[in-house]
Amino acid sequence: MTKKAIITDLNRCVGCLACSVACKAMNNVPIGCYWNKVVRIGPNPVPGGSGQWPDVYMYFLTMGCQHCEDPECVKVCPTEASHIAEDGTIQIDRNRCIGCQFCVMACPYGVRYLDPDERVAEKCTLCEERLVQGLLPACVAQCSGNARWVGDLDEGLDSFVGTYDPLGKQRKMVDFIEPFEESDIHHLPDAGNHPGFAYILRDHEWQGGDDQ
Amino acid sequence: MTVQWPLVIFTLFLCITSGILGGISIMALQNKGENVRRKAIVASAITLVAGGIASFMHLQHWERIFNGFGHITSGITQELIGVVVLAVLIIIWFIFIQSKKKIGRALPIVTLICAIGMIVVTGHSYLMEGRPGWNIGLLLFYLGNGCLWGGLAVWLLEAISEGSDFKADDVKIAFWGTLIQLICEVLYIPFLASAHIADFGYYANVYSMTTTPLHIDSLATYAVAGPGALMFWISIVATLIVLACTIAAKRKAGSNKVLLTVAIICAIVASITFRVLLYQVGFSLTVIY
Ligand code: SF4
Ligand code: SF4
Repeated sequence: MTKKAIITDLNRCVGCLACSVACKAMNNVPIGCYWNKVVRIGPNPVPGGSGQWPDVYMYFLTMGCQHCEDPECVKVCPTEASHIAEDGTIQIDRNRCIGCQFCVMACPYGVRYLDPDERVAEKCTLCEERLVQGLLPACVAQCSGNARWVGDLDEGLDSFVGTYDPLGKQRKMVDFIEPFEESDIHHLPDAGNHPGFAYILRDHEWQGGDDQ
Repeated sequence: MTVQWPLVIFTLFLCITSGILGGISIMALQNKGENVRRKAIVASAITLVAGGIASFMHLQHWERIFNGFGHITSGITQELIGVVVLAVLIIIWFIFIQSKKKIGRALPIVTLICAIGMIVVTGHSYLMEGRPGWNIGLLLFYLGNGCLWGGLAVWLLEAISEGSDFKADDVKIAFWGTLIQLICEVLYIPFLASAHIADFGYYANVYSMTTTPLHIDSLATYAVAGPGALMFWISIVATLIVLACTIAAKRKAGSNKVLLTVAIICAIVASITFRVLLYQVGFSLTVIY
């Protein structure tokens, strides 16, 4: 089994939006639509603090399709245009999509939209055409903070890789990022869809609930 | 989320169709309403077709349904199956009526079950874990709406039929149908109260810094005293007016066409405004994207 996913180290994300811009440029995402957004979470009060600065913290949450293990969007699609691909990612067959938008309604994160020109559902594809060529998804390739890593959840954290160092060697997530505990790994709130993407957040309170 | 008008109309017509079929089935089980059956069946066929057309308006590429429509876990597929079942039942009723055969008990019982089933299937396709406000309360509203339209359909058919044989019961069914609808509308509020939108604390959507971040502490408050209040209260008041019309008609001898007209207009208003409310409270589990 394969389950491609992205893990984002939120302590490393500087909120530069390079991933978002790269995604739009690479995938020709229409104006006003996004496959990948960076949302600023906070400043929220540090638990037990004064409630005022400097007892506050903030992080940037990169959001897009979470390529869920049990995707709601696939369940509701009447034509199986939305489907689980062989690499475990969730893809949309544009020629089968009838534009009923039930997937748009069913996604717990609101990351799908109806393409205004072609009138079919769209969302992040995890750059599947780049993955098959052995390339990195555009967002991972352009991440200025080395916060984004792509790999296979079924092969474990060791499989997650990112950009290349100046010597041309590909960085491995577990070797490159700061140490983290199992309890530092978080997911977006789960509505039974079991989001595949994961986030690493150390020393801060994870917002949104539903830690796994 | 934005109101999907074709789906508002589709679900309204489906509730009307199921209401009419349920209404005449109940009457048939009481050996009543023989003289209105033809009109009822024709009306149910028209509303079913109208609903079907509305649902197609929602599809951006309906021509592609031939590319493999039919994924069974999808609510749309289940709805289509339900619509076909109702269409078959309508044809069977029509054949019975045309050939002047006795309707018996089996057909009304099957029709009643399928009419209720159709509404359950319709409501079920909107039960989405990813939209906390679309929970079992939504399904109850649709069932109530079917009861409302079933009752009104019986009343209307009685009013337009000569030599009716069920004068005493027609408004009674409408009264109970409307009361059930009112209860279901009110019941939606506790269901909304039990639904939760994920809370991320303070946040900012840096793509739209001029937009005030949305925080939904309580969907129930949002519906009753917030942005959804206008639709909610119009719907409640309109349903109360329908109820008042049925009570007045029960007490009043002779023609009650004015009351019936007011009741139908208010039922349309209540049905549409509540559906708009459903979309207003139909937030995703996360609203920060
Ligand atoms: S995040 Fe939404 S669109 Fe992506 S797989 Fe999950 S349910 Fe589907
Ligand atoms: S909009 Fe397209 S992909 Fe989404 S549920 Fe409908 S047919 Fe499937």
